[in-house]
Amino acid sequence: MCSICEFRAARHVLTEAGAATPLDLAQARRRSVAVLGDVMQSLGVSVSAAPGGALRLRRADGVEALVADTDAVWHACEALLGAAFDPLHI
Amino acid sequence: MTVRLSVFCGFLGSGKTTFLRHQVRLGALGSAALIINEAAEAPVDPALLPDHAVRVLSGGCVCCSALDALMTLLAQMAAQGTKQIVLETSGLADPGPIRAALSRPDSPVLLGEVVTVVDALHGLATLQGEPLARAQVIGADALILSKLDAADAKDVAVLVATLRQMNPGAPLFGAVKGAEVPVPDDALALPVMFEADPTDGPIAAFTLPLGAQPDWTAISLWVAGMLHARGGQVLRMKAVVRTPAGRLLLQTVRQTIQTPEILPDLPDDSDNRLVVIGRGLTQADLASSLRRFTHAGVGPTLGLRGR
Repeated sequence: MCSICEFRAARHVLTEAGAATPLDLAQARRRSVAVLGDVMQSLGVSVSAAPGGALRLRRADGVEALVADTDAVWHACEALLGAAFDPLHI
Repeated sequence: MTVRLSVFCGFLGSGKTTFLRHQVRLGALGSAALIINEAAEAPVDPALLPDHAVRVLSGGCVCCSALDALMTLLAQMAAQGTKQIVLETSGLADPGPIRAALSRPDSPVLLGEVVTVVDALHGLATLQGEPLARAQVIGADALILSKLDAADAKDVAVLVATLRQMNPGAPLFGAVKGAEVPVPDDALALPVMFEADPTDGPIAAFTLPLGAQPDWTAISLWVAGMLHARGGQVLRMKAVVRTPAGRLLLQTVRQTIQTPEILPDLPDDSDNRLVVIGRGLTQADLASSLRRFTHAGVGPTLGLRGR
């Protein structure tokens, strides 16, 4: 919380900042995987949840990348694709 | 009776509203009336100042398209007996035309000082890439160096030396949020010399509706993906998003996403709209891309929807 204006900071993980309850948090994590999975599927990369909140990205030929969180997912996707990830061109 | 006006300038995301918000809470603005100017049609910043009476001028900069509206508003406020006014300009405002208009004999107010806020974290990059940011520094009577707690000391020293060279007559103050802190020493730093102005096209503001029940997770993923891919073009994003956790303030400056803050639970018609300010972007492309994320997945039942 800011000591001057008393605005509270939300959850540190950006995609989970809107969660108020443990149920919300679980939904946010599932939703992250679902959104990324759908978006990246069109590029030929599948996304699934891995233990500890990690994400597993997999190319059609079986090559995989494991990332700790959504912050690292864009670079990992690009490494698998060998091309830039651009939300405006999906 | 003379009405005195102070003008706060600073490039997109430099920390103007955060500084003023904390000044309000500390009582430093006293009874001064506050005018907030936003380039976007959907203003977000007034939501950050719930404790203070705020007038809003949105949809254009007070240095150009909204200048007449500003002069009309200032005349109205002067007629109503307002004695002190603080104007927070949009991040795209050039203080030069504002100063010229307020210096005319028919100006309804007396211009006090023009203060420009410079972001210690992104200031050098902004000054290098944005001629407008340089005009804001050169046109100031005083400079405030914000976010000093977040910036590298060597970079700050170079920025301080650069600011002192650009506007040697302006006193330079340091700030972390609204609190004044010492300005770091720049004795050993060399100022940056700027290249000719870039020609990357005009900056434009876009407003993207997020719906009555925004899907925070999908929206935040899109924002992160956009900054990853288009961080050079997207200068600023702002929104107040209603979520189960509360009204979340989402703000980005260049490729930095600030940790969201939870705002007081007040009604505000400008909630659930994302403002994107940048270059080389179109409303249609942004809306389509955001929709691709918010409509992705298995449907609305799994989304973390707002209340």
